[in-house]
Amino acid sequence: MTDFKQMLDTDRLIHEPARLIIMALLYGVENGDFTFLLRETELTRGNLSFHLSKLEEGGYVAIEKTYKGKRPYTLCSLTENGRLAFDAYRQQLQQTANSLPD
Amino acid sequence: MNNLNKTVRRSTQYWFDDGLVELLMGILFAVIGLLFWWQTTAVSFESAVVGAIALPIIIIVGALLLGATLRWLKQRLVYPRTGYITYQKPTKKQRNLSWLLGAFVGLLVAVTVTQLALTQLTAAFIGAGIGIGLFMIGYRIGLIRFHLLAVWSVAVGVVISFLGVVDTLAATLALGIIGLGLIVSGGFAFWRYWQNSEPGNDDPAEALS
Repeated sequence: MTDFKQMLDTDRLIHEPARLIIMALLYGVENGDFTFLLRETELTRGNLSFHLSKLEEGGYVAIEKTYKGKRPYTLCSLTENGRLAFDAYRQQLQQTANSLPD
Repeated sequence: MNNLNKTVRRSTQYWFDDGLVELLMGILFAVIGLLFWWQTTAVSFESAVVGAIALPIIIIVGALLLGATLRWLKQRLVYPRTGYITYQKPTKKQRNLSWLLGAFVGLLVAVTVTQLALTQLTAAFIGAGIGIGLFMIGYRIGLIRFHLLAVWSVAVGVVISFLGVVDTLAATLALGIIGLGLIVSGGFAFWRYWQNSEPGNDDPAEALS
């Protein structure tokens, strides 16, 4: 019963596959730009933009628009809350996987 | 779960995708090897002394230059194509620990080689040292070519020692050949990277406006 309860408590903001990939990619870095995420996730620009906005709204991702020379670019990073949420999600996923029969 | 861990690791791999790290490391090793060769062939005592004094300075300056060149190349060749990332900076404690560990290992190897009169094993020590470094990179980021380079490095060192080459000539050969391997591997990785990526021609900032 506890396991089911645990599964129901899953963080749905992260649980969506595209957002999970974005969070996982950003977890390994301090920040990454839009081009990096676009290439690594293989999402369309619109899709990536949508999911990033969702994560930003949830307070998991910080988005900064800046310039590198004359070239504008968008930098994304996980917030402290985002890191904690990803850690918790990973732990929860591991526990759920362990509780499943072989 | 494994896929999730792989995705987290993917960001670390990205730094090594283009082969520039190996390419520049290989060039640095080859240059240091050439310096050893210059010391070996120095005709006068003075030039040998100058070589001995210049060597550590060139190694330190070369390492710093390598970092700056790498960042410069990445900014011009890599980031416009496949994107820009920065890694979390190590804490002061982690940095100090790395320096201490590096200094300790260097000192240990130097004392072992000189005090135990193991000059016949100079190349083997160099190969093993570089090999361990490459293996650790490969282990951390999960790229098989670094494991192959580690094997190459150890093998080069062992073969040179086995052939009975000693002292600075052994260092010249070991660093030169290991460096060559790194240049070839880095060059190939860069060629593949270049083939598989296209220059970004659109404005990424627009996507989130």
